[in-house]
This record gives sequence, C-alpha cells and structure tokens, in this order.
Amino acid sequence: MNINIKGLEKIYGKRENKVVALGGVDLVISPGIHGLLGPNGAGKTTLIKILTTTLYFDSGEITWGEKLNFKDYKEIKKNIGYLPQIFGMYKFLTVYETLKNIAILKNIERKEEEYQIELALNRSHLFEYKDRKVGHLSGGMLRRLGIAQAILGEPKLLLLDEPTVGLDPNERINFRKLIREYNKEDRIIIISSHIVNDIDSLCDYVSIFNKGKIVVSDKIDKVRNIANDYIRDEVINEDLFIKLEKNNKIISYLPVGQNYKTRYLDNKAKADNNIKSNIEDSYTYLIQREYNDLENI
Amino acid sequence: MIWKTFREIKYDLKEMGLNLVTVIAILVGLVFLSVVLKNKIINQYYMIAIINSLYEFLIPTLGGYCSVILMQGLFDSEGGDLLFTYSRSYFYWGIIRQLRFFIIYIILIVAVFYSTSIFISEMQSEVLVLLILQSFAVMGFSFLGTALSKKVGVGLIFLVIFVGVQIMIGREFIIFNWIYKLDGNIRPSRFDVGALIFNSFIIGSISFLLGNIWIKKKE
Repeated sequence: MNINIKGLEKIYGKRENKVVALGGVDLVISPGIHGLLGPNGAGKTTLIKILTTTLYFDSGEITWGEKLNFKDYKEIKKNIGYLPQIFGMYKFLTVYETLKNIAILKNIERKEEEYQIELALNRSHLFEYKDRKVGHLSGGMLRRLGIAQAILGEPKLLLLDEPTVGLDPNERINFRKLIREYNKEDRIIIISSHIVNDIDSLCDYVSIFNKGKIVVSDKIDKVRNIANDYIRDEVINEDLFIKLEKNNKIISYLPVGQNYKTRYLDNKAKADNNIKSNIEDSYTYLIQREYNDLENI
Repeated sequence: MIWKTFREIKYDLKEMGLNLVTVIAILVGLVFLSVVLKNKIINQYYMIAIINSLYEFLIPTLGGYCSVILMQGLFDSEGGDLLFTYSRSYFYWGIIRQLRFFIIYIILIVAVFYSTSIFISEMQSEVLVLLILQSFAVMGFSFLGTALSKKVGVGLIFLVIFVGVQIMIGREFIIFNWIYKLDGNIRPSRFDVGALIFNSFIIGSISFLLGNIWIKKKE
C-alpha cells in the first residue's frame, strides 16, 4: 500500500512571522525504504511529525492505501513506529521495563509482549543491557533503545528521524543491517538524515527537500545519476584549490602530499569525463541549482 | 482491562522514581512529627491547630508536586512527544493518568490521616475530606500550569504561586484565599469548611478540564 500525499501545506506562525515549512508537497511513498534529504529547515522533520500524527497540517491530504486517512489518528497510530531526533525518556526504568511499558502503551497483545520485546532487544543489540537503567546508558545505546521502541510490535510504517546520530561506525553498520532485515512485505520505512551515506546505502527511493518543497523524488539509482555530467575529480595544488573554492562548490577533498584530491561541481560547463555521480553529488548539485535559480530570479 | 490499568499505573509510579519515594517519606515523616508535637505541646488546642496547619500546607502541596512530576515524561524528557504517537488518546495522557494518580494519593492521605489518628484522637474526619479536596484543587491547578506551558518547571511555579498566595496573603486578606482554612482549628473557624470544599472541587475540576484541552492542542 502506498502513502499518497497531495498538496500538503504546513505554516508555522502568523502573518509577518509566518514560516512555510511545507509548501504544497505532492509525494507517493511506496513500500520499501524511503530517504528524505535536505538542508536544515527544508521540511523533513515537519513531514515526519505530520506522519506521526503529532502535528496538524494546514491543507492537503494524506492517505494510506484506499482506506486509511491520516486524519484518522486512532487507526494511524496503531500502525506506526517513530524514532524522534532526540530520545531519552524513562530514566528511572531499566531497558526491559521501558520496552514493557511501551508494549502496553502500544496495545501489543499480552501473549505477544515477551516475544516482541525480545525481538526488539535482539535486533537492536541491547539484550545484554536489558537490566541496565536508561539513565545509565551511553548515547549510542540510548539511540539503539530509541530504535528498539520504534520497531517494537513490528509497525507497518517506520519513521526514523536522524537515526544514526550518536552511533559509532560499528553501530551504524548494525543499524543498516537491522533496517534491511526489517524491510519486507508491505512495510514502509522513512528515514530522514543528514548523513548522505546512510541514505545512499540503505534506501530504495529518495526525496530531496529544500525550503518546504520537493526538488526531486525518485528511485535512488535515478537520483544518483542526476549530477553525472557536472562532477569533476582532480588533484590540484593549494593555490588552485583556493581559487576553485571561490567559484565552485567543492563536494569533498582529501590531502595528498602537497596537493588536494578534490571532487567538485562544475555548474557552468558539462564535464566531458566518465565520472559517475553519487547521491551526495546529486544532492549538492540540486541544492546548488536551487540557490542559483533563486539568485537569477 | 483492570489488569492492564494496574500495569499502566505501575509504570507511571516507577517513572516518578525518587520523586515519589521522597513524597512518601515526607508523608510518613509527617505522622512522626505529629506524634512528637503531641508530646512537646501541652496546650491541646494549640497542638491540634499546628498539626492541622502542617497537614493543610504539606499534603496538597506534595500532591501538586506529584501531578507535575507525572507529566515529566511528556514534557521534560528528550523526545517526550513520542508518547503521543502510541495508541493512546490525549485524554489518556492528561486527565486519565492524573485522576488515576489522584485516587492513589487519596489512599496515601487516608493512610497518613488514620495513622495520625491512632496517636491523636482529636483529628476530625471533616479535616480529612477537606485535605482530599484541597489536594484535588492544588493537583488540578499544578497540572493546568504544566499543560499550558508544556514545561515541568513552569508547573512547579504555578504550584508555588497558587499555594503561596493563598497561605501568605490569604491569611490577611480573605479574598485571596479560596481553599485553605489557614487558622488550623476545625472549630471555631474563620471559614465555612463546606464552602472551602466546594471551592476546591470547582477549582480542581475546571483546572483538570482546561489542562486536558491544552494538552490536546497541537501546533
């Protein structure tokens, strides 16, 4: 079942102080892993909060399949798991007690409770810490507990806001494995992240947001190739590097001896090379193009 | 259904952690203090007045404190809005949890009151009813403050102002006192206890209802 978003608008504040967080978003979200990319304030978290039903939207419509409407909070809540940007509740409870409490709040059937808690603990690699107080967990463990509570009860719609913040490299690998395993049947997983690598390696679809609008939304392979003609990879000295920095958008660089191995965006002339762009290149290109368009206007 | 409610209450109380333990410890301490006062103060009339005043000040205030702390998970912990995504109504997060805790607090008040009565036979049941209703009002008002601001700190300020204004200023100017007997004596009293009970009920009911409406208010 797809989630269909039509003309979604959300405005914060009133009159001269109003901020358009989402300005008429149209989006179809199919089963699979869907990544949301965009700069700060682009509208990703607002969209996620609307999908969790904790935030009103001003106009538009969100439906899920043929029967479910996102204004029917009661039904939607039964089917969602959500990881907010910051998670740190129940400091006086143990990890196990926290999940037990959440299982009750999620209305998971009692005979299913133990199985679901164990599953969530194992998937998030928290089983050995189940008797530890939440207040005594490290940042990474707390994040994993956040993920565990989100997947508890195996919801059909999983909404993850910056899920890998605070995770060490090993934990990030585990997280990707968990999400890949979770991605089955008719489930929809939506990940909002600043870490482009996570989106690139995990997602089937990606939507790039800027200033409350969708710049592009498509299968990840297609989006990856958008910047193919505009990427250059060169090894240059420091003087050239400084010049380049002024005129072009540098995507990444690596010091190599006295020089820099530089990957940058050439907006003006199409590059006649065979460099394949990745999601980070395409994202940088599209956002840059948006700002250039605005400057031209 | 009943077992589920008990399990929910269990985790509500656990979540309050040390805060609840401290409140219970103070309530138990109050019983011991009453016994000590009974032995120290010879004038029985004066002794009852002091104990009543102590109870009138501490029991509703501690109840208000618990009401605020009960909302800590929602408003003061990191990512508390996550709770609203679980299969529970706004009604549940507000008034249901609050009134459920109020019932538990009534049990605590009754236990404290009757424990004191074992040692001090002059304690009157009229005071018990007043204490319960005063707690209802203070808890409701504290809950309203927390819900309006969505901050536990502001809820505590509401609590201090509500109790402080009535006890400090209301002692001199009756117009600022709606729920407290203040003089500590059951008879003769400057106030009609029935009116105080009625006021407490009205203040508590309105506060709980308004607070719940505000909890439901989303951006």
